[in-house]
Amino acid sequence: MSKKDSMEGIRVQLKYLSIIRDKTERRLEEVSFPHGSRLREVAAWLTQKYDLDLLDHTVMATLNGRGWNQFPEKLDTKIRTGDVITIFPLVSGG
Amino acid sequence: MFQGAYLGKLLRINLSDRKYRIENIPEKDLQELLGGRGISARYYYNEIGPDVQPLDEANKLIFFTGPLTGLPLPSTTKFQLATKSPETRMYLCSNSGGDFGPHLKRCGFDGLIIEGKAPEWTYVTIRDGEVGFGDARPWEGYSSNRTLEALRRAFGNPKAAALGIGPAGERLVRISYINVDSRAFGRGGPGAVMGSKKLKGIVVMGSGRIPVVDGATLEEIRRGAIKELKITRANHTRFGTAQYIEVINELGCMPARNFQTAYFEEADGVDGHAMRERYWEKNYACYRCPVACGKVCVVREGPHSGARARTEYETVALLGPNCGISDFGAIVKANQQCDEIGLDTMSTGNAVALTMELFERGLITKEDTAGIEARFGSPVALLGLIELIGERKAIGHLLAEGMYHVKQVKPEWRPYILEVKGLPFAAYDPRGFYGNGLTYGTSSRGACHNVGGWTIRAELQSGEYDRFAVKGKGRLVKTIQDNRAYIDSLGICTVVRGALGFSDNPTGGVMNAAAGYDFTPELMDIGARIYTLERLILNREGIRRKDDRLPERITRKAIPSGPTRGRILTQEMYEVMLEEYYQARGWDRDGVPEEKTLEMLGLKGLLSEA
Repeated sequence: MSKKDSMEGIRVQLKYLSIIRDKTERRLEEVSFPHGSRLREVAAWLTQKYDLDLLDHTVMATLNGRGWNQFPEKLDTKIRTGDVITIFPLVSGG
Repeated sequence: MFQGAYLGKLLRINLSDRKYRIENIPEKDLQELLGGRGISARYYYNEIGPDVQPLDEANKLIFFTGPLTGLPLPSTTKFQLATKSPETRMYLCSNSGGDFGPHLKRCGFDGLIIEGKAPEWTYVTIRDGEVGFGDARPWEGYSSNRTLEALRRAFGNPKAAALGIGPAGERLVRISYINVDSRAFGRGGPGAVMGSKKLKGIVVMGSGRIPVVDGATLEEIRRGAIKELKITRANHTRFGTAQYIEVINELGCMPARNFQTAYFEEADGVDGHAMRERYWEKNYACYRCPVACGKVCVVREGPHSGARARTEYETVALLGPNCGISDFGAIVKANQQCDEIGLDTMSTGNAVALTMELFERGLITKEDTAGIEARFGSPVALLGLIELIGERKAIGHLLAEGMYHVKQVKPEWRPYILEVKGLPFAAYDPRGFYGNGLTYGTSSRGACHNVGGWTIRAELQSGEYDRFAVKGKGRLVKTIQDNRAYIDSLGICTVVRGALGFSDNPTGGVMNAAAGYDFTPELMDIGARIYTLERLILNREGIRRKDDRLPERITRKAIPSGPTRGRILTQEMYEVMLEEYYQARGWDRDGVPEEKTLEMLGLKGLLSEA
């Protein structure tokens, strides 16, 4: 854990794209989570604040450009200061 | 065997002698190849040999609907075209929406084959089983939309379905498209095939009924699908495919300035929100589709005021960021201009971007561009270069021959040309999703994101794949390609496939109710059969492993900026994926299907009956 993490908690950047932006009414925010937080806590925070269901198959989320589901620990993946989490609607080609 | 959905007949029209005949389609072929893309590939295999040149009289336009085309389900408008591509000089499969396919079926035909060459500009009318020929000489020079209007007027019914070409097709521009009720057979230059046959358009209207086995069950499925689509495709309804601009850009996969990088700093001006808030006029829906993903956009102010077009993601990305353009109004204008001239927006966007890069590098000058200052970000340059291509003037004359030709006569430009097998890239940078590189490399028609298999969702969502890894991508791409091949053969839009049960593990409800035969579990096998049949055609036309390769910008240059900065898909990485892909397909190391694969897929027997 970096010195910055220990003093301020974990600060991550949340980006909201496309129709998700309409729901959050913002494109970007920096949010602080307690030490030891995982993606699971981020998902819970998003549900509580914006009624966003990250388990809904019409929503996709990445952590530093990779899908949440692609990390070995999945929702139990720990977050770190400086992480960028991006939330957007399902992309499915066309 | 089939009790509904199929008509079992095709209409064959010869333009040379103005004769036509109706033929039976072998039911076994439909059982093995489903319809649409599969059955049109079969007729191509039989009738268009490797020596036929795309603009020869011997080339044909082979149109086939699928069993679901025109049925009372959401978005069942799709039909397919197979022809030899003027752009790539090899097999081309293409799909389009619009009302043409459903009306062809109501006339009593699953398919339509156009052959021969008219002595003068001609149009064709199909009214139920009756075929007519008309003089299209007065329409020479008409835009593609005006051609469709003229066809409907000549037919005497504004609700008739029509397809036609604009001036680019007439001038044999090898990146010209066929306008189908304002949808399109866009890629590969099929407009020039019509042009070579002096066929300006076809208009069709049918009054018959397409039989189905169990209408009540289909109605039940339709209601369920509509309910689901309203939830799962709400974003398509609101933003259309333009929604992907922001997402693809943030994922570091957006073509910017001729794929020099994969992130466009000014995407805000051209994303789904910009479109919706400032340019959206109304939604456009295909036949019976509740999603209505089509967006009619209009420019209300500024230099392009009055421009109107139905913009889609690929068009926005390739005429926009890929040309450094951040003004959505200019993109709408360029889209409209392409539509009027009759150019494929995707190949055009690539051609313009190439020209801009060559100009900025000093490899061409204003003498080549008829005085145009061809710099990235200039709407004047964008619109001017489109005009040059459509009119075959200055550098436009060379670009109108397609990248296959440009590469041959200008080998020094190869480092800046983004194509596979002569077909320019779709709007995704494969350095951002490695599977997408294999998609482009192995697609049956060149660098296509659809026929080749759209991997991005799986590369982001599945726990099995890492977007920047090569492992597993061979099997992934094969699976998505096979799925797409059978979807393209059914006659439905990919947007609704999930709601109708057509996934990698398809359910048989729809086909059972429609045709009385559920096609399960074999739909994915049919997809694999179609894909390998297409490969046999490509092999016959000289395509091998050497052609399944990516351009050097992708394999030698790392992305210089944005979220994927530093990413590269090297030749070594690509070869690993390609090897795995060939193994998954049962093709040998040179990309030729093995004998045992042909036997397993039933192709040996099928093709021996040709």
